[in-house]
Amino acid sequence: MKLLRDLLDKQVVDREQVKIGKIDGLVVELRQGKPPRIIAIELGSITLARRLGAGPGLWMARLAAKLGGKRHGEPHRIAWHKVRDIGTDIEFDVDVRQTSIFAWQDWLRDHVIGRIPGA
Amino acid sequence: MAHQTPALTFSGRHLRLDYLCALLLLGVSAGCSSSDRIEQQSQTAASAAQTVSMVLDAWTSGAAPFAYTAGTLQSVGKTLADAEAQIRSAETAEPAEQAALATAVKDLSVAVAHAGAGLQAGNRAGVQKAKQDLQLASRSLAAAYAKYFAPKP
Amino acid sequence: MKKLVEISLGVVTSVGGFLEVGSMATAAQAGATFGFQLIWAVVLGTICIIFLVEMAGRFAAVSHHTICDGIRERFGFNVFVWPLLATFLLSLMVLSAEIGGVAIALELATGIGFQWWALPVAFLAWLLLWKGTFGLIEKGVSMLGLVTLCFVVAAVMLKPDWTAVAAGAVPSLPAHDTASYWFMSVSILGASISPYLFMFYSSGAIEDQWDKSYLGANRAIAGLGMSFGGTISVGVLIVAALVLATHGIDQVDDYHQLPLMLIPVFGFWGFVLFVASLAIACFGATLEVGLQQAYLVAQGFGWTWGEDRKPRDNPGFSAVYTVSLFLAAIPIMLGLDPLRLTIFSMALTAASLPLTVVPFLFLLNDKRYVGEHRNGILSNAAVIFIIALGFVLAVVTIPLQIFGGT
Repeated sequence: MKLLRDLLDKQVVDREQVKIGKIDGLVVELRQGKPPRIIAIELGSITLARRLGAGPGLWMARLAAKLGGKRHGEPHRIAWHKVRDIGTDIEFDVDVRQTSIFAWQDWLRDHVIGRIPGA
Repeated sequence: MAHQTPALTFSGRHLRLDYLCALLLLGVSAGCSSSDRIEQQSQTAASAAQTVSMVLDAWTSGAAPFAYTAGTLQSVGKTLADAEAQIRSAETAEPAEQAALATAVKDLSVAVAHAGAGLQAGNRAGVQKAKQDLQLASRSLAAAYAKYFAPKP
Repeated sequence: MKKLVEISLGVVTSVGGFLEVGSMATAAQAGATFGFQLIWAVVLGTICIIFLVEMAGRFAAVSHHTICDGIRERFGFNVFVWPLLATFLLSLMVLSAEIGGVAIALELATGIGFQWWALPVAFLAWLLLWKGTFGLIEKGVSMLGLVTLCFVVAAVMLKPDWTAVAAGAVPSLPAHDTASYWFMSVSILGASISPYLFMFYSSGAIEDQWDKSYLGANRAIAGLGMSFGGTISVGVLIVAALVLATHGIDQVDDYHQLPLMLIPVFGFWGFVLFVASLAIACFGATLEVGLQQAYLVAQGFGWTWGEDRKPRDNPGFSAVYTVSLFLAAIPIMLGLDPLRLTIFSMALTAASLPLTVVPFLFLLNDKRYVGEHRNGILSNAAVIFIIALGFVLAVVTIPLQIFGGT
């Protein structure tokens, strides 16, 4: 499988088919004498910023930590063994509500969007 | 190279998007010849005058509402004042023809102002009179324009 | 039978949604200054958008990806970020222009300055996106947009010399104002080939859950809808040429001049029809561009998206259109002239085309996405032509922006 071509930047959904992001990065284990193995995927702005360069990555990590606390200073990871299906979207056996991936969306809902009438 | 861009036409009422562009292009427009600017502004003034004449006709026949007619007169008035100032400030080798053009545009402005006053007062005769003045001034603008761009001996 | 209804609905939607402030203003200017001579630009732009829309719909129906998803997936984030930024910023400008268009219509109708209308218009658009569904926005508003057909009726009633109209469909060199001629042709092309149009179309295909059985419908909707839409633009151009130019108005640089197009044809009703056309067409476009901003960002980053969900289930998505609409209202509120903004943003759109159209060449020829429904020679030729055109326009627009204007 060509990792970059077939996985990177694909849509990720959780077990409820909720779109939770794109595969922004892959965590790969390099093994001596054997082909490399994917151990996890990464999602979120920090990973994306790192793809643009070390500078933006560092800057985004600092910003995220400042806004969301220490726990948001690292990219979100989902272990590869949770993968359930690879099709148009890639499905992982997780529930987005139990992760911190949508913490900012929840914040947005609780503090802004949810307060506007009719939401 | 021909005309001034809309981006470079200033008028007091609107905050133009292109102030920045205008600054950037100041050097470029300095390269534009004055006769280009005079040509462009004369054409704008002629179109503006025809616009007023058309909108007054529409208003007289009941096809254009009052608010729209008044708004158009006001907007055109500003365009004409701006055109006159630009024509006056252009540097040219034919000051007499330039002055004739500027005077014609000034007459247009005055006629438009009269039409506006007549409109506000509901004075149809006054509007008609202003429209005739407008046509006269349009004709003298066309004549001055032809003279300005006529081949010189 | 059901398909037929769906096709006609789709065609009606694209016709009603075709005209917006950009196509209207550029066609009016071109007709007033150059008569029928620039009809070719409208025709060319329409042919280009037919191809792009057909491809966007085919891509969505076969691969179940929107164009935006496709670009990110196929080229990776580092490439995607450029079309993303360019489209987002340009669409924001176009959104401002559309809000300005509605605001102008309201000023013409009431006499209250357009600046005062920017916020109420943005608010109303936001409210519809907030409470409405995709069907309501796509179908309802475009239905109303059929009022813009009055330009076609007016053009026919003016009895133009049809051979002269046909001659205008063939490109020719201008006899006067060369720079302004090319600048106008660029703006017309930019107004016809808008990235938001084909991106929105592919999002719509996913929202309406298209699959391969829709390929025929897609072709019919793209072909018929866009050609009828282009006909309305040509109608505007003809009316401007026959009404404004013959009355000695050959420079359209003030939006107050625009209603004069229909008054000699329909009298007072012409004024009403013009104001209604401008308001409805621009309001429809405001909704579409606003929604497309949210689609673009949500699809680009993989969030949940869809206009039929409640805002509280989709906070990121709804935040994007909310912020876009209000940001776009600001320049109009500050009194920036909407007509100038329109012409300016249309020319920039034309120059940005290569960024959004180059990906079509790859996506529509990639078996992993479209399988056997790959582009034929004709479609590929069209894409390559549009890209080349875009490059030329990009090189030409910037200097013309300086010297060309009207």
